[in-house]
Amino acid sequence: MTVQPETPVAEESRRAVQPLPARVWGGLRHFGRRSPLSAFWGCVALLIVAMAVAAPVIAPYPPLKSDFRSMQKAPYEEHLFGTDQIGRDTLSRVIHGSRTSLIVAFAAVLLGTTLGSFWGLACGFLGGRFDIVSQRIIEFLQSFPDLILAMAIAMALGSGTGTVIIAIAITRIPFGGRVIRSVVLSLKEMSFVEAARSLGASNMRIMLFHILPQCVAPYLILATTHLGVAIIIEASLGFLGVGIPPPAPTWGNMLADALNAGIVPPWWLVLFPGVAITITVLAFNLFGDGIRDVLDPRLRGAV
Amino acid sequence: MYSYIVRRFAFGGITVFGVSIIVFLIMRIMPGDPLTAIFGPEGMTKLTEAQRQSYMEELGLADPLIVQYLNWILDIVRGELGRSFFRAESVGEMVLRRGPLTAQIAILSVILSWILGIPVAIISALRPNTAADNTARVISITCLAVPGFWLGMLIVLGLLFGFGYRAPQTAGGAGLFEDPGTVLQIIIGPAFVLALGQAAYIARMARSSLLEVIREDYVRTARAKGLNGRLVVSLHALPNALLPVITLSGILLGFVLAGSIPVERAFGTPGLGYAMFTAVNERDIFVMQNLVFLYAVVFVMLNITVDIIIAWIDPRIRYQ
Amino acid sequence: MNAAAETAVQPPVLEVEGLKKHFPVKKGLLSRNIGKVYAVDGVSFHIGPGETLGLVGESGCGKSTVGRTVLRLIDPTEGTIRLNGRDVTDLGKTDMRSVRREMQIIFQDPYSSLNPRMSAGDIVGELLRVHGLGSAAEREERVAELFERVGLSRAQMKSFPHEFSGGQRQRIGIARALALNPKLIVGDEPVSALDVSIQAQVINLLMDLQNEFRLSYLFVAHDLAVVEHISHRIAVMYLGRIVEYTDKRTLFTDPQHPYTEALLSAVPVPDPRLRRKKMVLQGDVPSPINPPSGCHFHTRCPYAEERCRVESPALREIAPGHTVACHLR
Repeated sequence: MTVQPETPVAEESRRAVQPLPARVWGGLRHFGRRSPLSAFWGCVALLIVAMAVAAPVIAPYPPLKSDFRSMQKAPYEEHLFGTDQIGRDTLSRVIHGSRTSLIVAFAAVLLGTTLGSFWGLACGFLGGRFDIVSQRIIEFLQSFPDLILAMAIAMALGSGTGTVIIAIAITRIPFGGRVIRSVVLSLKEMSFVEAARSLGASNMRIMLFHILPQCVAPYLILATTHLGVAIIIEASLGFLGVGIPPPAPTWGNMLADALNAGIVPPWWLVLFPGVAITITVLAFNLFGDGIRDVLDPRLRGAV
Repeated sequence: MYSYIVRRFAFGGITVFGVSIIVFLIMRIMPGDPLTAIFGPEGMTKLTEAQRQSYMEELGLADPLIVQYLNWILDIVRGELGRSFFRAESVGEMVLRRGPLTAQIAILSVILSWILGIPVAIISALRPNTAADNTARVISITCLAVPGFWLGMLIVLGLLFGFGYRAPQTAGGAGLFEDPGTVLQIIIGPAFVLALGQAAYIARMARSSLLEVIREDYVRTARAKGLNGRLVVSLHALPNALLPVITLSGILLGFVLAGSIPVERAFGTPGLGYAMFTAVNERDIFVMQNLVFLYAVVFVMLNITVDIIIAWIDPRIRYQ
Repeated sequence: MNAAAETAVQPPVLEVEGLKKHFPVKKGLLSRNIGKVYAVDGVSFHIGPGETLGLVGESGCGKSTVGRTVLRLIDPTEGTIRLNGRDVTDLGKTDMRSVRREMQIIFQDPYSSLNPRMSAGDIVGELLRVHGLGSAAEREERVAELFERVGLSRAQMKSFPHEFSGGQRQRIGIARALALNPKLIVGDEPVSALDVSIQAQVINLLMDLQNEFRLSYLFVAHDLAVVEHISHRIAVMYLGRIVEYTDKRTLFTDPQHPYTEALLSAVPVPDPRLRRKKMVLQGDVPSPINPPSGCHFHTRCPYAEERCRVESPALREIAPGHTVACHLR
């Protein structure tokens, strides 16, 4: 009864003793090999995040400054993306727009997914009446198309960054609630949970050590796959006039302004903000897909 | 089957009730009161306390919440959908006048999404992981990332600059069958834009479900009998593969109703979505309350209908 | 092995009397009870120190439920469970915690029974941590000791479950169960999911451990071949009831219940010259929601008489230490 040394075991344990940076680097390389397309768009997403962080440095002009000598000018050397009807630089506004867009999307998804996940955790773990009632409420929330729910909440709360975040976050809650609940339910059936109970572990301990750690991957998957949707909802709210109030430079606001500029909106005011939205959403969607495939291929389509 | 339908509708009733409570609560959490929305912040300051009080009572906003809620539900039951603060038209009239246009847009977009999505799915499924399949994948991923309302603005601009064409803004009250030319010109743009996103989902779903079905034994048998690949797919696989696509399409239809709000705004289409846009900007809470509720009810009904259609086609579902 | 003889003198480690577990069957919106699953329907047995009782039956006969109920992972509907003479049937959560050190479980599936996010060392040491025993260094030392005892190396404590083979994982499960020197270990089909060659290794390990620590085993399995080697006595279950209960040798040489006969005829015989009487059961196990009247086995029994359909046979001692529930013996 000797234990044969198995090569993968040896390799894995060597990996485990490597210092953290090397492990992170190894993980990233693995990710890149596994889905090069996602890795590329992940880099694009990172660039967009960098652009948002460094917006004041990169943008050639302050986003709110009007230049009355060049109003509603098509792109030329001084204003590469042209200017709007009151002479604000479109390029600078697009760059600053990434800030609002990302802040809102990240905050909303983080807030909504986290709340939803904890709710789902509680539902799955407690079960019983709490679960039945919660599932009903979640179903009610899912009976609204998300844009309409966000619109109604944003309107009711009045405009502002905080309210937009809350409005979008609420539309994300049901997803966290459903997915994490089902993860917890399936984990509860696993015999390692029963094993822990037979050891005399308390519910709290089972929750913290056996169930919570396994919810991290689905949670991350949920959060990343919903970023794109959140960005589109934010832009739509801005476009419909219930987003962050003007003159804040958001992509949705810029498109709404373009439409209000006259019967025929100038093409550059329409083109650039939309391209920004599309590329950002594309980047986050594909990055999210890659994360999902690497973390848990079984969740394909489930989230 | 009958009991399944009854059960499904009973659940739907509970959902609609829950939805009505959520809508009502959202519309009553407004900070500041609705009068600010009507008279503007300046107008508010000019109102005396007594005037404010009388307005609130007139609008029924002074009653306790539960009374307000019950009155609202009673109104709906009586078919009275309330009135806008700003317009003479009642919400009911508005829905009847503008609703058909939005409904036509939604239905046309579903049809277009099948016309666009299914052939792409068949091509992808017949030759999985080839250049054609990958191209289809990239296109559908892109379609999901493009905001529809922006695409709408681009189309309007493109047509205007390229062909000097602008779609008519109104059919003058004529319906689809009275003036099909004009109505089609109004609805085709929004429907196309809304169809793209759906087509992307449908193509993905139909592709994977086709691939699954193609691998099943009865398709292999058909192939063994001598039918060639293309025929096998169209004759045997397609109807079964389309089942999940029907479900998806029904769910997407609900999202199309929501998506049509910014898209109608982009095209300037005089549909219900545009009315929603106007109401939300004017903070017209009674219109919003009823329209949001209406949209949610339609959404719930769509889901029930899809469930029933699926149960009718596939009897296994009824017993789950 | 003379453990069976010893049991007569020594007080049993585990005594189970009239154990019943009925699960409600719920349906519909208001979760009305529409029936019961008679998973375990009046089961009694006892296990002495250093003894192994094999609990055998087809899947769905309630044998796993017995194992879990004994450990109070499921609360029994009726009956008493005594561990070392102490009634643990109705103990509350806190009292149960101390009892849990005395009895442990080894699971069937070596994959789902180990938390994939914990290192093997943490899994084995969890019991010590749960009960707050020893310092971190002492616990580490104890875990290392256990690893070596079950045939794993100290270096593997840092590895994660996915890095082990099925047999190695089951060894981790055994080490986990051993951590606090329990008196009783319930093996819930502990080798059913393993390769045949690995099964023998694990069973040998379990038997070595039994000799070393005077462990008592309740060994649940679905075929007799597996329990033959390890058990001292065997109880055969059918639809929630024990139908035959005796020592191993008697069961294999002189089975009395028709169901036991049928099970035995399915056991492969290593000697090709020996031929057992073939007996193949017809039909499936009936549903435990609606068990047959009278003797539960009558629907599939080749010798069934009118009486079997009506009257439920009691467990009778037909010879010292050999009880059978059959009208015909």
